[in-house]
Amino acid sequence: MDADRPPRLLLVPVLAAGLSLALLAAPFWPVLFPVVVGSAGVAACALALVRRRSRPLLRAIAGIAVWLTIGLAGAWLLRERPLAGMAWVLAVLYLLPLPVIPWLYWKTFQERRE
Amino acid sequence: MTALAVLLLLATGLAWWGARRARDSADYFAAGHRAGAWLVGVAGTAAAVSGFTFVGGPGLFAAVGAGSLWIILSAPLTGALQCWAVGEPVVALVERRRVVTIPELLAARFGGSAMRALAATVVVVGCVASLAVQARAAAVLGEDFLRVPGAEAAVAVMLATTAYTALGGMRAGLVADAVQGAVMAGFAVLLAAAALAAAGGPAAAVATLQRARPELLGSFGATAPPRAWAWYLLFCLGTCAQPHYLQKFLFLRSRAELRLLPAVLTGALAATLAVWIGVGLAGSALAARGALTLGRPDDLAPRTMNLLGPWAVLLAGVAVLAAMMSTAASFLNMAAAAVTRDLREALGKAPLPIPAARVATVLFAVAATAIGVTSERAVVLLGLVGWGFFTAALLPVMTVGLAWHRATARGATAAVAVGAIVDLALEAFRQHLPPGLEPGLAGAALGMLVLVAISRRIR
Repeated sequence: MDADRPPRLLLVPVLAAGLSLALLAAPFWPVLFPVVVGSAGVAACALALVRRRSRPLLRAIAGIAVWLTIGLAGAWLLRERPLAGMAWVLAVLYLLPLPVIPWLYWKTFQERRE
Repeated sequence: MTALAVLLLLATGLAWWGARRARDSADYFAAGHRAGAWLVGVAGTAAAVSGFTFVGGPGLFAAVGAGSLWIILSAPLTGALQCWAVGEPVVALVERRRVVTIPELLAARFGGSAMRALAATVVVVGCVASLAVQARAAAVLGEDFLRVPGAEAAVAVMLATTAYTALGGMRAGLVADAVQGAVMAGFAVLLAAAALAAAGGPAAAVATLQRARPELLGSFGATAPPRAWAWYLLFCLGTCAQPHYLQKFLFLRSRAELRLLPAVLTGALAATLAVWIGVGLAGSALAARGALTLGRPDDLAPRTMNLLGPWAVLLAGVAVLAAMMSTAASFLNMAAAAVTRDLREALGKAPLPIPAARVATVLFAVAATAIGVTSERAVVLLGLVGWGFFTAALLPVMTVGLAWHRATARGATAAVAVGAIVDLALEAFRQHLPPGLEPGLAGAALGMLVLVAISRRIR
C-alpha cells in the first residue's frame, strides 16, 4: 500500500511524470528548458536518495542543484557576449566541477548497502 | 598500412590470451565480475567514445562553435550520475543474481520473459546499427588519416576487433578497451595542445574567432539555445541508458569499486574530450585565418592534423581506430549475448555455449562490415539508431524502473516498446521538428509516462 511506503518513494513516479510532461512541452515553450534541464539532471542524481538517504548525500545533491542553477542561468544571461559567454560555459559548467563532482561521490559513498 | 598490420598482430596476441581465460559465460560476457574501478573506468570511457569525438566533434565546433560544447558539457556530472542513478542498483542486482547481460538484469528486476526478449531485441538492433556505422566510419577515416583504401581499413579494424572479442569475450575486450582508452586520452591531450600551440595559444585562437567569426562564440555559439539545452540533457541522462556503458557495471568485482569509478570515468573522459575543444577551437581559428581550407566541417580535424605534420596524422589515426575498436568490441559482445543467451532463455530454451557466442560475434561483425562498406544508404538509415534510440528505449526502465518498487513488468515492457517506436518515428521527421525536440528525449519522456501510468493502473 502507498501508505506503507516512505514519502520519497511516492515522489519518484510523480516527479518522473511531471518532468516528462515538462520535457515534452519545452520545445514548444522554450522558457521551460533550463528549468527542465536542471531539474532532470538533479532528479536523476537524487534517485540515489531513494536507496540510501544520508545528510551528506542530500547536501551533495543540493550543491549540484545550486551549481547547475547558477551555471545555466549565467549561460543564458551571457548568451550575447562572445568572450564572457564561452568563458562562463567552459569555466563554470565544465572545468570547475570536473574534480568536484567525483569527489562529492567519493565523500558520500557508503560501503554498506542499506 | 604498417599501423594496420601492427594492430592485427596485437589483436591476435590478445585473442590468444583471452581465449585461455574465458571459461564460462560470466568470463565471456562480464569479464568474470572481477574488474576494478581503474580498469572499468578507463575501458568504459574507451567504449563510450567513438570516432565522432575526434572528427565529428571538432567539425561540429567549426560549424556551430560553442553550441557544440553543450554535447560534452555534462561530462563532469555523468560519471557520478551514472553511479548514483544506475550503477548502485545494477551492482546490487549483480551481487544478488550474478547476471551477465543487461536484458538479463532487467528480467531479474521486473520478471517476465517478454521484458528480456524485448530488451535483447533493442540491444541487437542498436548494436548492429552502431557496428555498421563504426565500419563505415573506419573506412572513411582510414582514407582520411591512414591513407589506405577505405574498405581495407574497415575490414582490418573489424577483423582485429572480432579476433579478440570472439575468442576472449570481455575478458580480452576489457583489457583491450583499457589500453585503447589510455592511448586515446593521452593522444587527445597531445593533439589538442599541439593544435592550440599552432594557433598561437587559446587566447590568440579566441581573439581570431572574435574578429572573424564571432557567431561561433558566446554561450551557445551558432546553435539555438533550445537545441543546446536538449543536447545537454540527451547526453547527460542518456549515459544512464547506453548498454555499452551499463555493461561495465556488470564487470565490477564489488560494490566498493564504485567509490572511485566516477573519478576515473570523469578524468579519462575529460582528457579525451580535450581534442574536441582544443582541435575545434584551434582548427576553426586556423581556418578563419586562411591557414586551412575546409570543404565541409568534418574536414577540420584531418586538415588540422595535416597542418601539424605526419606525426599528428598518425597519432590521430591510431586514436580514432582505438576509439572505434573499443566501441565495436562492446557492441559485438552484447549482440552475441543477446542472441545466444537472452533471446533463447526468454523463449524457454537453454542458452547456447561459448563457441556459439564466438560464431555469433563473427557473424555480426561480417554483417555489419558488409553493410557499412557496401551501402551508404543503409548506413544513413542505421545511423538513426544510436544514442537517442537507446536513451528512448532504456532510460525509463534503467532509472525510475530500478528505483521505484511499484514499477511492473508490463509497465516496463510497454515503456521500452513505446520509447523505441517514438524515437524511430520522430527520427524519420527530424528535419521538420522544432529545435530542442530531440527524438531520444521525447521517446524517453513518453516511455516514462507509460511506465508510470501502466504500473499504477495494474497495481
